[in-house]
Amino acid sequence: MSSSPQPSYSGMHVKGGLIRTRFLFVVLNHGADTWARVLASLPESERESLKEIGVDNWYPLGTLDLVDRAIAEQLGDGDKEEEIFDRLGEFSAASSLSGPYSSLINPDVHSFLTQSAMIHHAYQDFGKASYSSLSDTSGLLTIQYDKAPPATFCVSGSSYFRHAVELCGARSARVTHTRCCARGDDACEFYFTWQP
Amino acid sequence: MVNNVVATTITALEAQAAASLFLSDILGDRFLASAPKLDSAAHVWRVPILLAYPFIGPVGQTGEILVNATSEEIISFTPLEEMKATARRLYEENRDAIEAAFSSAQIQQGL
Repeated sequence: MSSSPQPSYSGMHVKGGLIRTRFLFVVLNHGADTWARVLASLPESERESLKEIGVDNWYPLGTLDLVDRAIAEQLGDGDKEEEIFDRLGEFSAASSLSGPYSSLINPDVHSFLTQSAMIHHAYQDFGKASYSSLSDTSGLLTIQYDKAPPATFCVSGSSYFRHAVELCGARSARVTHTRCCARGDDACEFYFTWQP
Repeated sequence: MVNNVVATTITALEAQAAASLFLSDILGDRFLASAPKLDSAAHVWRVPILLAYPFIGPVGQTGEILVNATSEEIISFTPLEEMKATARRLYEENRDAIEAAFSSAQIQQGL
């Protein structure tokens, strides 16, 4: 693993697949030139580590955060950050759940969310996730973190899960980020509702 | 007094998750743990491993992981080199579709 550029996220890593998803999101939707500008805006050490994105490698969470903020800057000119991370989360769901994680798709949304919590550590080495159903069409995903990840991580995560639930076949999926470590809460909590 | 200890069978979801985590550690995220089948005689879950690409989906099976039906322990798996060799063959067989899906992205990264 490379060293983390941001001490606040030291010891926290994500799988290269998450960074590759950012790369695909930018290149397939906005062109290779935009990705080149994203890279150019990063510190030299980060640019070097992203010349070839190893999907099997672990990257510092700080690198992902820098990439996310650079994408928001390039695509939104500093504005519309939330909208960009919302689209990124949707793209991420469509991308990973059509391929490497397609076996997670399940018409039983509770099963999908249960298994998503179980494999939490397949793509990030921090936090502990658990899921509990609240009714036939609602549930709560809780992630305990020792240190809060960036707030943008939760924005794209919420969007990822909302779209993922719809890919499972549910309608009108909603995700409310009821508690967030980045806002000072003791855990991140995502409240799901959907229509069958 | 006799104590009857009945081992609890883990669910298919748990077996699949155990295989996914194992794959993530050793092979990376192009390998997909598919729907497990319970082999009652051997007391294991048999989890087929598929090669899969974003937006394309699974393109074929590369091997199998056996998960202990009561403990989520990985009992055995198709040798990694064999799975990688099968993955390379499957990639070649599906190269056109894969490259078409990622033509613009491939300019910069070896997908």
